[in-house]
Amino acid sequence: MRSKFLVKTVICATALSLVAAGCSRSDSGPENAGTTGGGGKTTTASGAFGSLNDVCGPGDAKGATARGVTDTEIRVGTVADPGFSGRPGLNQELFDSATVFTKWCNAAGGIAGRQIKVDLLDSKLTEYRARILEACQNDFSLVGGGAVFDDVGQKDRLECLLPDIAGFVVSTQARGADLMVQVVPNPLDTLPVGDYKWLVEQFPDSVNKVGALTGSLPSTILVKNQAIEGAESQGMKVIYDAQYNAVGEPTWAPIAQTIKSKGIKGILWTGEPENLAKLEIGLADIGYKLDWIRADANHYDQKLQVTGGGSIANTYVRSTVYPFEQASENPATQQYLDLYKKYLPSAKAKTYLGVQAFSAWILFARAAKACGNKLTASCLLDESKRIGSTTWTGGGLHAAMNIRDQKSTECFSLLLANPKGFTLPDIDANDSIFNCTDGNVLTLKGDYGKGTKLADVGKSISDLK
Amino acid sequence: MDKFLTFTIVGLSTGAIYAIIASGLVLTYTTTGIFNFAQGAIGMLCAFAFWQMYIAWEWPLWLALLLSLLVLAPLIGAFIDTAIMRGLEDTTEVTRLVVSIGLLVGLIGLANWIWKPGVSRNVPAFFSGHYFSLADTRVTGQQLATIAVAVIVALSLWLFLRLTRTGVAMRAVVDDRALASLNGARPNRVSMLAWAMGCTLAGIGGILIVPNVALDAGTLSLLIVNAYAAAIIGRLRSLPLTFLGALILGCTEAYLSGYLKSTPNLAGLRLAAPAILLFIVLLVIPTSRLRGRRQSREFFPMPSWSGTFVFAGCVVFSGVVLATTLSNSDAVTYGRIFAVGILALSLVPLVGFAGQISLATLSFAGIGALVFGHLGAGGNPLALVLAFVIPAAVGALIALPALRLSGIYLALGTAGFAVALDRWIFNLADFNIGPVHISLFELGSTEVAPLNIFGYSFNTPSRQMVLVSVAFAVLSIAVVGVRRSAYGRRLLAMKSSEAACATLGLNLVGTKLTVFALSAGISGVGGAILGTQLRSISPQNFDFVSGLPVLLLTVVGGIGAVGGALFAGVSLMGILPLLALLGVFFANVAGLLPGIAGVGLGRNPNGSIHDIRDGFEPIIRYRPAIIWLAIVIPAVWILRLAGIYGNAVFFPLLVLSPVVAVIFATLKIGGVEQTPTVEEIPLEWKGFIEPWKESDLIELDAALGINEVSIHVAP
Repeated sequence: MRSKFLVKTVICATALSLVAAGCSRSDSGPENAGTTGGGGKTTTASGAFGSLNDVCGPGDAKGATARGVTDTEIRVGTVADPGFSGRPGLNQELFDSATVFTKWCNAAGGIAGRQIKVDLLDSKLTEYRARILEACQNDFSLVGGGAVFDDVGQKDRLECLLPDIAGFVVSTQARGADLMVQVVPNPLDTLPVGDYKWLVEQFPDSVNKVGALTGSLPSTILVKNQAIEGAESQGMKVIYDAQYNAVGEPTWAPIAQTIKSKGIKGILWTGEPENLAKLEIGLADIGYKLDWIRADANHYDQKLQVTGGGSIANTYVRSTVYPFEQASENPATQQYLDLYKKYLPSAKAKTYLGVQAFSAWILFARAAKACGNKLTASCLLDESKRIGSTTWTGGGLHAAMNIRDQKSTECFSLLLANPKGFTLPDIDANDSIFNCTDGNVLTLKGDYGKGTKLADVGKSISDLK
Repeated sequence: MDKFLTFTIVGLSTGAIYAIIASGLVLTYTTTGIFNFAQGAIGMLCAFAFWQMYIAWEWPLWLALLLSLLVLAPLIGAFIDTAIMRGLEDTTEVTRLVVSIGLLVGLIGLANWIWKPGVSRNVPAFFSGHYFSLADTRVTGQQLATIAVAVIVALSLWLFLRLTRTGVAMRAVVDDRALASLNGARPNRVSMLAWAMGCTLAGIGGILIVPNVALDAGTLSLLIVNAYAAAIIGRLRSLPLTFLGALILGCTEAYLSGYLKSTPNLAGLRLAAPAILLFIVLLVIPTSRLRGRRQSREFFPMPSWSGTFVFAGCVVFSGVVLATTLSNSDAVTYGRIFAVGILALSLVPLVGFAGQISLATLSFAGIGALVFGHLGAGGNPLALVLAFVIPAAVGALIALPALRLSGIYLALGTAGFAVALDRWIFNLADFNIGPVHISLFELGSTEVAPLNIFGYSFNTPSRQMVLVSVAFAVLSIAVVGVRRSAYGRRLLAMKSSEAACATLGLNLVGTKLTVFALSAGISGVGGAILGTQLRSISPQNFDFVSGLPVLLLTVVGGIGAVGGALFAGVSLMGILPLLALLGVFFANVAGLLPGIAGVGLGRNPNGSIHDIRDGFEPIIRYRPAIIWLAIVIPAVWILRLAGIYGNAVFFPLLVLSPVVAVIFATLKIGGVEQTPTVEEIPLEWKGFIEPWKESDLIELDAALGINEVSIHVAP
């Protein structure tokens, strides 16, 4: 119902910060990124992408070996929420990446000769379960998708043994679910803490005066709790733990004043760009400066600057995707932007989720190709994990991901927001722009719920063909 | 001390915002008798218009302010008064409340249509860059302006209502419209002015608040919920007290923010504080006078058993038909029709029969779903019983403070309860009260197992569809049973005149408690069944805002009849989503429809269900039509099951058959039997009551036995 949209609008925007990669729908960088062509590979009909050769190409794979697979075609589904009436176009980039990839791949010959047919499944925030039931009828696998309320469909997905090479996941049920390969793993038992470590080193005076803020939504509260555990493991002391009204605060003065009166120096923020901008305006209004604010990847978004203007300061956004500002130095990112321009010029290319979804598609294509004539669900999942291994970068699009063990990545980079845009501070990068060090990942001790398993629906891995 | 002073200043600037909003609410209530739920929405519309003029079209500030506050806002107010509120004169409190809810929903839909959501729109703060330091904080130019405006508004309103003739006339018109007009006031003009002023106040509040908040239709419209407590502290009639209440509210929030210990369980308390404060204030308000009899146009005829069983049978039959013909994913989508129908059904005894108002339907549904999810391991049907009992007990508990109150106070009390649940309780992690371990949504969502009766598990969408339709049918029979019993007559008596009930010695307390409990229990069962359909529930499924359309559409359908509940379920979960499938334009229209239906209630406060039933009258009276339907519909269904055609052909056929039958029967035997309204004029009075006609002469002659005598009548 239309009045549900209000709360759901907020949830969608905030809940997406749950993921190590979040959601971003607007242009994230200055306009010159992507227009100056570098030495990157330009699009050809070749099926190579970034550092990977032969992602797509002709071949002679045959056999109707599974639901949705025929001699000539593989039918897959991509889920997203752009039809939600309260926020039209929400996560449209998932559909866009699906369209761009499949057009490019089919033009290059398909996956080992089979063409890809993609069903764009619009879950409109409240219809995830219905879309999963549809996919269960027709599709071989879900690829490169994600929905805000993905808890409601996991049991149905497992009952019909539908694998998912996910672009992103949100709920605990999905984060720990079986038959899933997340291309940017966001598990329940590990947490990346490299950025907290860096903040502790850079701002030692702030360590004992840290605050944690999130919206009044249970899902973001969970993520905030995980962030607190991670931060405290690195020596931070969280002395202020509060919620703001996810629907909207009439004024940020009380929270800003509390931050000032407690002498807070650093804030762990789990929310969305517009509210963070309002908080920063509130802090500027009372003339109080923080040492740092740490926000999730969904804050790599021009909305921060548009809303906050001159008040944006000392805001560090965690990122694992190669920034669009430097696309000319990274062939994979440049090729990604070129493919978007070629196959879907009206779409917004410079989004986080778009890149992540694209990486999921590449992984899917390579795994399906490796399976060849024996393309089944179990082969797909096994090959994805084997090919993904522990250093999957999607051809160079993002930091190295541990696909095989589905654990959090050791790599991170930070983007520093200022009133004009984003810059890259020095984070002791040792792998192009990323800092990948042992010890950047923490094994969590708290109980953050568990995912949906095959046993929950009365099935086992042997049922998977 | 310094900290206390600092937070007091912060609280005062927050309180100023609430003061402006609450003053507008109180002004509208004192001068029109209607509690305007849409106050925030009107402010939102003015704020959007202001943004459009000032930022998008870059007109000068003074022009944008002038046009939005002194032209647009009064026009909206005048329109609302003339087109909508005039027609609500002799309707119940419920109807008027629901109309304002309809206005709220409609305005949000309108704003979302004109200004597409998802785009970032910002209004910069007024007087930005200017501030002065006080204690440990700074008061910005914007905050100072807000405080100044709040004080000016409160003062001038108070003076206006007390000292000017128009102001006094406004208060008189609400008190007794007829008497006021006898004394020379012009009620129509005065009420139009009242609405215009109320809307201008809403606009001022909206524009002042918008730099702090994102320009989003829903957010702005619903911020006003925070200000309800301030309006209640002012007893909905005293502006100075309202101002004081707003300051108390603002300071409470500021102190809670600054002083409350940072524990996870208390973090939501600050957000729930306005709702809790509202509840506490309601507890100490003096008892309202017992209401006497009110003339109202609502009338709900006694339902017959035969009609009810036919209705229930049709519901179950349609559930079975849908279960056997819809695909799994469609069964999931449209199975919610009956679940929402059960939620709407819970409102029928409470609002329709007893005339009480509750805005917490979905909260009780959430409690029922939680009970079933946590206590119903494996889908134990006994947990369904508990899903009735526990929400019923909570409902009775909530009703206790409301016993002394009625009408709008009751509505606001239930709203406060619902909001406190949304913002605080439902977000809590597991906790213990003594030996009892209470587990809620477990910081995310909680699983609900499908119902399992003696080994038969309702775990597929089609089985769930049948289950929920049977549940709706059974519950509607129960509700009709309530209506036809002595208890039902007591409820109707309470709705009609509480004073008369007290005179006769009827126990109002017991009646109110039990009807609240009954309604909450039915909501709980509905919530539990909805939970089994969703399989995984989260607080967002049961928030306060989602309950408003249910109430709205049930009243539009007919709150006194179980058919109204089905109407609500079908329109909310069937017709509106189907409309939205047709495209963006229709989705926008679908967003506006409930609002339009709500504001149109004034024309037909009894609801549409009676008109729909009247439409089917011809079939009932024409036997061959019934026989024809009894053959055609099963035949169409069996052909569909045999696979002769698909759903695209089946559903139009299914819908067309009764329509064809109705048309055919109407042609054969005419429409609804009209009782003769024109009485025969007695012979002696011909020519006196109506002007004399030639035919009257012929009638007279025939009656007197004089034939064929012609007398010339002078022209």
